[in-house]
Amino acid sequence: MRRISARLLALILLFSPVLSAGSEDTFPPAVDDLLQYVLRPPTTTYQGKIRTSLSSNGRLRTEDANVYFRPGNVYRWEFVNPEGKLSRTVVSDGTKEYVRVPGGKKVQEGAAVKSAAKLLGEDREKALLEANYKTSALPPRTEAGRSVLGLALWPKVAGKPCQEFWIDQETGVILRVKRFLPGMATSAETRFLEFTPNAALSDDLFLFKTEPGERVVAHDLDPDFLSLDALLKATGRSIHPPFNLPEGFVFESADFFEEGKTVLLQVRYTDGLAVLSLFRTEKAIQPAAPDIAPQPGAERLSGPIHTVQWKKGSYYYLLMGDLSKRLLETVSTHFK
Amino acid sequence: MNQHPDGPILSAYLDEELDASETTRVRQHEALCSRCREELTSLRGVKDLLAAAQRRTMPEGLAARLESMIHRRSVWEIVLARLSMPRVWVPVGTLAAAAAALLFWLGPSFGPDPDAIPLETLLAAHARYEAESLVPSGDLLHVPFSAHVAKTDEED
Repeated sequence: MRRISARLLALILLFSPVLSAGSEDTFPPAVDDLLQYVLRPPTTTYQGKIRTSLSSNGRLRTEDANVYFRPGNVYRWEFVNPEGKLSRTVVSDGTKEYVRVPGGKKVQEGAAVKSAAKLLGEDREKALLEANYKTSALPPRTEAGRSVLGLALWPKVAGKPCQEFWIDQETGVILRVKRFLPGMATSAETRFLEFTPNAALSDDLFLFKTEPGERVVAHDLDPDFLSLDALLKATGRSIHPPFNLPEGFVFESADFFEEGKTVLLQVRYTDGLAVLSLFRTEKAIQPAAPDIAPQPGAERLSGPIHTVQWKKGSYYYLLMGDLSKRLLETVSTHFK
Repeated sequence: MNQHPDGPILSAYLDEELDASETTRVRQHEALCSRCREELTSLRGVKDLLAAAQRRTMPEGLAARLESMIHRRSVWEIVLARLSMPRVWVPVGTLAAAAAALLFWLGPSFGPDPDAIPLETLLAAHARYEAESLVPSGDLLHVPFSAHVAKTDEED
């Protein structure tokens, strides 16, 4: 009895940071507890080196970055090209994000990711996720020299993406994430090659200062989360898409932006994981060449994002998302 | 199958890309529906035309260069750079047939338009929005967005 208690105590102590999210101290943690870790922002300061990879039909494209992070959405990413030179730096103070290219004349400024509330509440988005995807635990393994627990989100409908997470047992930070369409030879992945939690990071890393000859400009690509009424007030343009689409997608928000002198409307849908963008414009949109020329032997769309385009009345439409081409075409029929 | 299968399904049927059950359903529908039989006959004609078009031998090394160019046109990667329209080395007959096929599928509204809105802008807007998802994606989505922004800076 005494030996059993000692083992149990050792396990609880070993995995206590992760287990603290759950209601019971069990190992492996319940899938729901892992999902909570995935959905909440990191609470640990860290630095590391990450690699993003896009694998497509046997070809691999990668990009590395040095990453520094503090809770509160404060981060710095230094992207490094294959020659080892700095290609761009992204710095966020939690509200603003700056993108700088070495030797450039401008620093692009925008809102930090997740610094504004969406139209759809988090509870509703999570409910959609749980309604449209199955969660399952993956066997524990090692990433960046650290013990991780795995979680997979699998769609209940064919043609939607699957996402896998590998979560650091000590800190709950996601050390590897992979997204792919089951059955297709395309995947996108981010993984830590090196990871140092609780690193002592200088404030200077997260301070943005212009350098001589640089000026700060807004890139104007920040998303707004508008209702259709607010979109009408802002643009004078009305659009009446369905609020619910097949396979669990619901309207989340609308937005607009300008390309040249043309105003584009963007209507977004989510099923909790995958998102769809419907664009409407009065001007033709450049087609994705592989998308509209599926001739035998031609290069097919190889990335995880597919598009469907059509014209209705005087408007041009484009639907975009990382669904299979067939499912996206099925969904698009509900707009036509 | 009570409803007429749409164009992409028929195309996939001809290319033998449907699974067994869908293939059976389309085949059964084809047997009963004269309209879809006519459409399939038309599609087969386009396909045969493309297959029969005279081909020329590519210059040495061009295939590798095209491979590289086409790879850059991958929609996912297109966010990383504003690229020029792809140039494709095809026989004239094939090009004409392909244009006819495109017009057949899409109608005249999607012909080449040099003033068309670049797709990269839409992809960047979509990627930036995806980064706001409740489920984190590491920087899978934010990487192409910041690359797009950085590229805009370089172009200016």
